[in-house]
Amino acid sequence: MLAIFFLAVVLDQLGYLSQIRTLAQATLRPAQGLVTGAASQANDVLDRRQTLEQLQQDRAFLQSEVNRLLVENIQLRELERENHQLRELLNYTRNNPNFDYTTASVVGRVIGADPSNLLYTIFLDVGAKDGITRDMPVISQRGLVGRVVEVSPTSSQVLLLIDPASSVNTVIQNTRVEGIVRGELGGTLLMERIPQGVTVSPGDLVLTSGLGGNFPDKLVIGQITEVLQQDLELFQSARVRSTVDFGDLETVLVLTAFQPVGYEEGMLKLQEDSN
Amino acid sequence: MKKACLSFRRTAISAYVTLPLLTLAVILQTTLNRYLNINDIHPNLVLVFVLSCSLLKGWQRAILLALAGGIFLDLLTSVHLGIFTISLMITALLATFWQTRYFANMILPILLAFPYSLLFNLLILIALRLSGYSVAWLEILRTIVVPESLLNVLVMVIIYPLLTWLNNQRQKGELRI
Repeated sequence: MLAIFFLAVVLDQLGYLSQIRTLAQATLRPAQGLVTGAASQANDVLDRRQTLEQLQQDRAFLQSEVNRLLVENIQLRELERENHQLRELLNYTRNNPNFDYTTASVVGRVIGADPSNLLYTIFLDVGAKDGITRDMPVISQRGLVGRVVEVSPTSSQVLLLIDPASSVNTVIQNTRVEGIVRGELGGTLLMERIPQGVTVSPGDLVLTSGLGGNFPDKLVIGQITEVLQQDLELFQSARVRSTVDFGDLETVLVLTAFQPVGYEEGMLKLQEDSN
Repeated sequence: MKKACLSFRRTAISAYVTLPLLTLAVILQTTLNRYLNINDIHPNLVLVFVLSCSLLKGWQRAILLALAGGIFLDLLTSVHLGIFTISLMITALLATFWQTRYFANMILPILLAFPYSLLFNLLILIALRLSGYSVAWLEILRTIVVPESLLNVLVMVIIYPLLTWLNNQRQKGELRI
């Protein structure tokens, strides 16, 4: 056997066994292919399983990242919005340096924290401890919001401009015509007591006049949208669209430095001034 | 004497459940209305709760809850105290008319939220008119009262079955409302 083996080695070295080698390789190739394929497939399956596990881990990680980023995004948007609001309020305070302000966050329902759909009040998270007293005007960066009607040590209730119990002495900016803006049931504003004969047009801006001493002057109230004029009436009236979006109130300013006076006191003051 | 004590105990136990629920309704109504509204019109949770109890429990409970709920509402508004209380009590009392009727299903009591919501709001509007407010009746009915009444029906779909379930628990002796 050893002799045959050594003889085969010598013949292979001399190149006489190449045909036999080729034949053997050709015979084994399909089997090799089969086994290699099977092994490869098995390897693929293992790889896929590992990949699947990896992908599942990656997916879970990415999902948690998405959730985290979503929350972060919401927080950033909230901060951006708050920042924007505060900047606008800051601009307002810079443009109106003669008032002292207390910044207040609105708590409770915003458009009419009042539980009914007919009346409109909101609650603020600042009260007597923060220097808030009754009748102080409340504004936002968009204009007049209302006035404080009830004060507790830590909260206060604000009667919104659109409440039917609210009335403000106003003036039309370009014509200087005076009138009274009242809230109506349903949340609209009506400017009354506009003298006949004066021209009032849709688009005119309405500001507080300061008459009566309940509100400071030049606070923006809104824009006239419709003029209601009848020749037989003593006065004209006009519908006013408030510049404040009462459904979107979140942060407001309470004018703590402004000392409102009652209507009677205001009238007496006017009479004294005229004398 | 024993019967009176038992009745008082039942009422006291009932109050433990209904008053917190009523308070919750008031809190939700004054805080979440900003989110639970359609075109700035929100449902009246307190009214729906009181109506549901009126339909389920009869006039005594209805009056008591309407009184408590009405005072809550009155305290949270800027109008004279009593407007909401009286309107709610009248509405609740009239709603108990149906309490003795047999309800084969829940559809009728749920639908009753609509006319009684209309009635409640009309009573408030009358009271406001008498207090000196100017009321544009048709406009307010169209833009506020009818939409609110429809929303109340939707809320009734949730609250009434819930209270019915609680009431059934009571009848089984597990809970009293």
